[in-house]
Amino acid sequence: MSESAFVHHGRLGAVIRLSVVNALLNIVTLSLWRFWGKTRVRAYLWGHTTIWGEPLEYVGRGGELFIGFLLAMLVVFTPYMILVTVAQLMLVEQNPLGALLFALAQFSLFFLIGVGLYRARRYLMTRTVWRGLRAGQDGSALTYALLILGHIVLMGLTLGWSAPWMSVKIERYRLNHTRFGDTGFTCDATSGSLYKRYALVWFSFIPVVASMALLGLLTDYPDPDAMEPGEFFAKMALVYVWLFGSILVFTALPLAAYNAAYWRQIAAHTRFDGIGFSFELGAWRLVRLFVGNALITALSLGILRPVASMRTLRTACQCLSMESQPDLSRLFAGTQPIPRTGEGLVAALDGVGEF
Amino acid sequence: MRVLAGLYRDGKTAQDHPVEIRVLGHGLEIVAHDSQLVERWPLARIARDGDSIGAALRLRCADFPAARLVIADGQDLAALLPQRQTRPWLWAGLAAGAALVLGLTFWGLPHLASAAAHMVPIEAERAWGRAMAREIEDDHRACTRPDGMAALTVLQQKLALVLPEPQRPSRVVVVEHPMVNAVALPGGTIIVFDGLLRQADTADEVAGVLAHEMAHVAERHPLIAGIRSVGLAALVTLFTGDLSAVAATIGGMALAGNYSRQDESSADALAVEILHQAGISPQGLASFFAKLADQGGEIPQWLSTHPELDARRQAVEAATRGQAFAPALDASQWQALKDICPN
Repeated sequence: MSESAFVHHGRLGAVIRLSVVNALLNIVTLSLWRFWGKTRVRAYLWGHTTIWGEPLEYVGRGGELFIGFLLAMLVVFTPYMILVTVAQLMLVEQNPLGALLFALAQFSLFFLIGVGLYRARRYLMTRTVWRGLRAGQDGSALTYALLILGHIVLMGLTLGWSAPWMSVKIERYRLNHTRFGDTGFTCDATSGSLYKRYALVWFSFIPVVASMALLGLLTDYPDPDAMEPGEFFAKMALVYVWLFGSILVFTALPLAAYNAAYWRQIAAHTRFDGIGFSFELGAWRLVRLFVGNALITALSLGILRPVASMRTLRTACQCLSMESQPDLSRLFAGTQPIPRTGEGLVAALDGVGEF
Repeated sequence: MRVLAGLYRDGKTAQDHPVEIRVLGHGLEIVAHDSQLVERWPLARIARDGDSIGAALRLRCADFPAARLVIADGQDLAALLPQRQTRPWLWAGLAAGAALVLGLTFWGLPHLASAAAHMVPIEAERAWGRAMAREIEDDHRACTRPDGMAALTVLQQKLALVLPEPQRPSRVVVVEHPMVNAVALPGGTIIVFDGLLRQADTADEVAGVLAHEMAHVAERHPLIAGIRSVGLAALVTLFTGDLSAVAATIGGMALAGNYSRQDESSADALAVEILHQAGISPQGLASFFAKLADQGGEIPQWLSTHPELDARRQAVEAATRGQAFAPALDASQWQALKDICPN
């Protein structure tokens, strides 16, 4: 088949227009519009992505995200803030219980982000329709959050060496619980072949640490109490530019090579109804995508983030291919229940990982 | 009656079902090839998917949420469907509304912050300032040579007595640090860095800087600036929807610089007033600005919150009135103040 399985047709002008209208509406509504704005962006991006010639359809609604956000604020965020405030007050009074409470709050934050990310992905899947069938995600958000937590703890214990193993494990969990209609994806990727590239990433941090130490020798650490605000900000800017510069120089390419290999490995071991995938992504392309997205987002003060999303989607579509078209007569709707509200936990906590 | 060919998707399988679509006055009838009626969609309940790529008309019906119709050439059918009104004034209204909200917020913020500052009990402000002072004094030794302390008290009182009692600084401390500067903390503590005393050529220059910091204290600028920067970060985050705070930091810094310039010139004006009433020449403040401008500083001007030193010097000179001034301190007091730090 000459036709590519995945094609993104989104136009830059249309997405910029959407972004600007959303920014204006965010200002006028004191940001309440953002749930509906995000929904409009997704509807556009989904509608302009075709799989075997048929566009995706996004059927989520802004109101669902808004209610999900309110629920998360009420049930999770408010108790969390109370816990943190109490812990801080106790710390000020030098009560040792405060530190314990604080640790508990931090711990539960990581946990909640894990839960929120998984539930947000479930929402996104169930709102994605192709040829009249919804995608879906099973599995448990608690298990997923425990995996994330385990990932963080192991990273600390093994000085980062557990990262490829755990990342692939977590990816497998996600993909093995993802389905389209009632047909599940399967993924049996392993991390063994990724370790050579990961070692390069790991060792590339040594020159970064060395260059930060060099900066420490050259200049004082910025201290807001002992400097003019202008000097402090200039010094802080220098530290950040130096840090990101060092990371860019020493780590960016190894990291990109590792990440590209990671996605190639995941795709090569993923099947849908027996059909395989491949992901032709190179390191340099990943660097361009990432740096471009960071610049677009930062220079537009976050307003053009949808453009960054579109670039990501376009790159993914260009790189991803599927061996053959699935047999449509074998695909049926899933029978699992569909969440009624959007996932607000991630939006309430930090907004991490949102599309 | 028009009859069109279309594809029907039932939401149960991924397959297309070729159907005949009969266009009636009140709705669409979807008929299978065996002439069996599949569904009847009332026109008022039909929505069109306007987000998808391609020329095909894609329809859904609120009465059958899972079902979809794809009509390859049904573009003229779109005219029969409930129309979305086009509102050309919406863009203009939206832009004007956004400009209004932005303008009101960023003009209003300093006023809101100072109103909020007046609601903060002075005790809470002092406690905050004490905590900040303690941190500075932990890192940098406070200078306490008795002769110097006495001279500092003389200078402080000369200036402070001009102000009404509640606006006076609570404490002036010199700490060992080469920075040529002084800062006012919330609650009225003023920290003078030793570098300032070393760089100053006359007591009048130190008096000028001290009067400037006292003006900040009298106008509660440190507290207001604190409240303002928190509010600013919250607003920028709100407006840009950027929760990662990149935008909030960049935008906040730019605007904080603007607001703090307003604070600086207001403090300069009040400082000149204080100096006049204390009988000390504001020329000291002006020559100190000239000195800072000559040094150039390691900071690029656009990043600094104290730019336009030359303009500030000129403003101080312009505000100076012709009257008799006495030196802020006599020669021995000035020497003692310069030597307040051991070594």
